[in-house]
Amino acid sequence: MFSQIFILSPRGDTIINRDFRSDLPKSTPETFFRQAKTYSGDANPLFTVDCIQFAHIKRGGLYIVGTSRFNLQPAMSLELLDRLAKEIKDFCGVINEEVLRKNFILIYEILDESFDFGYPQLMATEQIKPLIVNDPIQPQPDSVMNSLRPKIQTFNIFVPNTIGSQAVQRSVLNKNQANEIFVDIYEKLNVLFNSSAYVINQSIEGCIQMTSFLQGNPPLKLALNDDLQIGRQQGQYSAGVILDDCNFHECVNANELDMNKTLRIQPPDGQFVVMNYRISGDYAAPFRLFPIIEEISSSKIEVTIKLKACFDAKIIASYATIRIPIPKQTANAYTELVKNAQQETAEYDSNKKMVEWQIKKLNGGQERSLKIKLTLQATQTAHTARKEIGPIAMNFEIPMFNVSRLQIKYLRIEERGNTTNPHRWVRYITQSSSYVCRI
Amino acid sequence: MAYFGNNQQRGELQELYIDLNDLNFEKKKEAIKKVIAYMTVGKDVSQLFQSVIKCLEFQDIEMKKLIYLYIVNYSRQKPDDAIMVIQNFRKDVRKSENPLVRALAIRTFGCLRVPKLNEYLIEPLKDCIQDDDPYVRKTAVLCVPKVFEVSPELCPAILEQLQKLLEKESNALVLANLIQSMREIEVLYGKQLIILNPKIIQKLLLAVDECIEWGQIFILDYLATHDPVDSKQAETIIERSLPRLSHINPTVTFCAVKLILKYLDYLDNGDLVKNLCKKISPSIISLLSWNQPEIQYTILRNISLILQKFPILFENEVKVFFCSFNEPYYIKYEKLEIMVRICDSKNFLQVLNELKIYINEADPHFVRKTIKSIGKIAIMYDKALQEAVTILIEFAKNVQQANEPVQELFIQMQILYRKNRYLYKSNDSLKILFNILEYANEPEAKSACAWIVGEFAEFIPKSVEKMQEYIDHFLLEDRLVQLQLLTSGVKLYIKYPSLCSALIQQLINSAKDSFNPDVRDRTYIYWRLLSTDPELVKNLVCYQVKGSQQFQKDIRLWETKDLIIALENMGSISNLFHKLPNQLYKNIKVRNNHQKEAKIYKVDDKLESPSKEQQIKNDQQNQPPQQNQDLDLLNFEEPASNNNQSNNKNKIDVYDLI
Repeated sequence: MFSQIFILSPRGDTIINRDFRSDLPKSTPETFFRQAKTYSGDANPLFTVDCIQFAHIKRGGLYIVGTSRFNLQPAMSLELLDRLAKEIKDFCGVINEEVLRKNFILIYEILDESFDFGYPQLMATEQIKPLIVNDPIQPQPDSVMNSLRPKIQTFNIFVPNTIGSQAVQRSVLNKNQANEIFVDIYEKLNVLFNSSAYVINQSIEGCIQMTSFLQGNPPLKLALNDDLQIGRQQGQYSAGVILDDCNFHECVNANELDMNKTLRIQPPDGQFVVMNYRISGDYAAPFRLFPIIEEISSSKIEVTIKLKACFDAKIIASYATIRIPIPKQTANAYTELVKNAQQETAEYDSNKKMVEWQIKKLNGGQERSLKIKLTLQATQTAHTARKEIGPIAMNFEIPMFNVSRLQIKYLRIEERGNTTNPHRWVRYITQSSSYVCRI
Repeated sequence: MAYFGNNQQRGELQELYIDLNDLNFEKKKEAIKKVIAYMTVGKDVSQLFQSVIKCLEFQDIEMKKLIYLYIVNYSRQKPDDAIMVIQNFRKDVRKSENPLVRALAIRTFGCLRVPKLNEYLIEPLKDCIQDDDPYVRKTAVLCVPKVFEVSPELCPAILEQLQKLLEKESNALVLANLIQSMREIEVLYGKQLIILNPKIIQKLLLAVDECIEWGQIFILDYLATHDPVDSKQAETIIERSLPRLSHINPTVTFCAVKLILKYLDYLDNGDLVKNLCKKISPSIISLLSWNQPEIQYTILRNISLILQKFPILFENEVKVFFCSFNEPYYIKYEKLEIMVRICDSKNFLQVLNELKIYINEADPHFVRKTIKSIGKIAIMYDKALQEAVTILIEFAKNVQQANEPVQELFIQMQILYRKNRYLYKSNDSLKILFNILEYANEPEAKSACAWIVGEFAEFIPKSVEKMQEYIDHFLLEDRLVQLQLLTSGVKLYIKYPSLCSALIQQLINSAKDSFNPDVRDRTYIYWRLLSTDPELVKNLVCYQVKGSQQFQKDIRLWETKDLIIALENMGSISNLFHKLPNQLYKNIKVRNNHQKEAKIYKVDDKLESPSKEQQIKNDQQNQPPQQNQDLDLLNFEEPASNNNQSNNKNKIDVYDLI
């Protein structure tokens, strides 16, 4: 397992350096940094120098690195580092150089509880909380430097840009905080259409994520749809919500899921994913794209794209971006939106040979369309060039909407007698992962 | 300047020294924090050793943690001073009421790694292994390999104690650590330490349910190295591990998959195996949609391995491996590989249709791999040939420049033509290819072109001119191209003796003095053959195979015996490289495995017998070297030697080769 774990600043200074096995030279941080700098862009998460494996992740600009000379499991090492980063964030609130430097003793403590001899031990915030004696030192809140710093990376698997959460950037050790819990249902959509808007392949990757600030960590009961079913039999169609597969956090007892559709949860502090799920079956895609390509002449092509939002009118999708690759031999492209279109832009990027169409807000049921007029260079004819158009890729986010219809019926806090009723916040967010229409 | 710098540092140390010896507790604590900060940055603060350890007398746990951190770092530099700490350690271990302090002491003690201190450590360590508090026990258990590494001679009694603990321990986390530490000692010791009996297995399985995720990994990983005694035991273990398949931690899931896949071999009940496979595959597929592409990649690399033994797992699941447009290319390449492997007689059309779309992607390297994959599929399934040619020719129509995909196109088309000669008729393929022949610039692609020109000379209007063009630049070509030009030139000569007599003369003249012995030898062989018996050459060189040839490509990744070792190391870094652990690390010894054959789990219900598998493999080895396009060595050596002594007996072979 890990021989050492160290944390380096963006300039390569050692902030934390813990040697568990003393079987590697002391100069490994320098070796790592030198190698990491040889990559253009981000370094590979895993590389080998002189038979030493370096696994690293980057958080808040810092390198969190584990080294080993064993045949370690790459997936596990990266997961471990990620967990470590999460722990540090849970304790310190944020991860950045200043906070880490101020709290280095606390971090050594965390490291010592999390790893022994390089083997992972207790790696959950609430498990090691009783074993930690240091208190986090918060950085100066309003210093100019802080406001200049880029936003700190959060550990959300999904980072929504529509609704900010109050849950981030808070330390779990802060005792005087509101008694509340946030529940987010995220769904990421993969859809592939062919040119006649027929779905070739589709799937949903979803998760239920909680951020708990409940005092005393009382057990929770989370109830999902009554028509929920797990595991898909072949050739079976059902009106209910069918999950192909799902997995659960350790704190979740899913024994009653089949019977009552409820999960019993012993929530840890801070953020955790209650459940991941995957759906491969048919669902109504929230957007439909209808591309029409016409060859006007041998050097002119006209592309018309219609977009239809197929969801309830009360729901508003935001930041929809549609990218249309156009032929490399394009001499000029002219985009045309519907008259008096609002909060809508279409731009042609002649370097990337791409038309980008942005719609800031789109209510359910609405239709939009875009016309692109292409003029080709003399070297290519419209007939061959039209093959280079597409595939059209779409990015979007729809808050308070989910495609799978998986719902939280209720979230009950089992311990009664508590005078204050904790706040429970539930959000639904649907995002595109790969939403593509082939032409 | 240097003097100034030194002085300043000494000044800092001096200040710290004063603070450390201050009577004020808070001041001491601050000083120690500063010492640790210096240590982290890499400054040498070992001179303060004495003053620091004096502070150990306080019972403040925060202070203790800091001092221990310091001691661990400097004990090897100052072993003599470190002895002074021993008393403090022993006191902490024996007397302290607080389990945290006891565990802290024993953990730090283990990290000292000074041989002469270890003898003082053995007794406290024994106490800690029997401690009432599981937190202390779990720490103590991991301490044993630390001590063993430095002074193994002190340990026999403790090892016995560990074995006893294994039988009676009830805490899951301690058990997990125990297993891991005993495994580590096993490696150092070179002997088996853990002796499993049904009771212990039962206990381990219970522990898996209760343990934290990393402990689950340790235990599952260990059980996966165990060989179950019978089908019943295998069944129980599998049954108990099934819930792990839906764990949120990908490594736990993957360890469970590894364990179950291994134990499947030991089950007698075929239906049960099938049911289990149905349960495993959704879990593996879920791992593929894990949000980190790096983890997806490791899973994909392992799937290509699993596929060789368990094709059944991904039956009807080929869609899962279709590439999405926004994936990193390393994932796309891996998915392509898998799509070829997963392809069977039922779904090849579906796969080809998908590949057809990838051909229009922007990345030339990806398109090249796609073309190669199409070729591979066509070689495997006769029925796919026609479709593959249609796709490739459609692509060839749009070629406008010499780029990577075009090179691959020539190579694959050549292989397809070799498989079925009559393909040249379909879709005007020959004409379209001939028009873009000039775009071939890689040796392999050029040699493919040369082959095409020679083979189909009579259907290409300007074949002789083209050949003349090639031969004019003969000396500039790569060896691979030269060899093919020789054969193709001879073919042309036989087809058009009068037109090509000058051409063949020029060819032989330029080739006969080649510095490359292979080229030279082949030239002489053809030369002599042509001058003795042209009729024989005609039979030899222009032999036409009726219908399609029965050659296939061996796409298996591993030899059977290596496959088993590889499966045991599933998920590790060596598998990521598709290597065996001992090929990657000199210090790792691979368990000798006596199992020579691997059971293959096929879709069609029947478990294929290993002997048949072996048979197929042998057949494939006897196949002509067309399949080894990558190994150019074979490509020329055999024709040369075989032609040399061409008698009736090996004639068939030779025909295939040319």
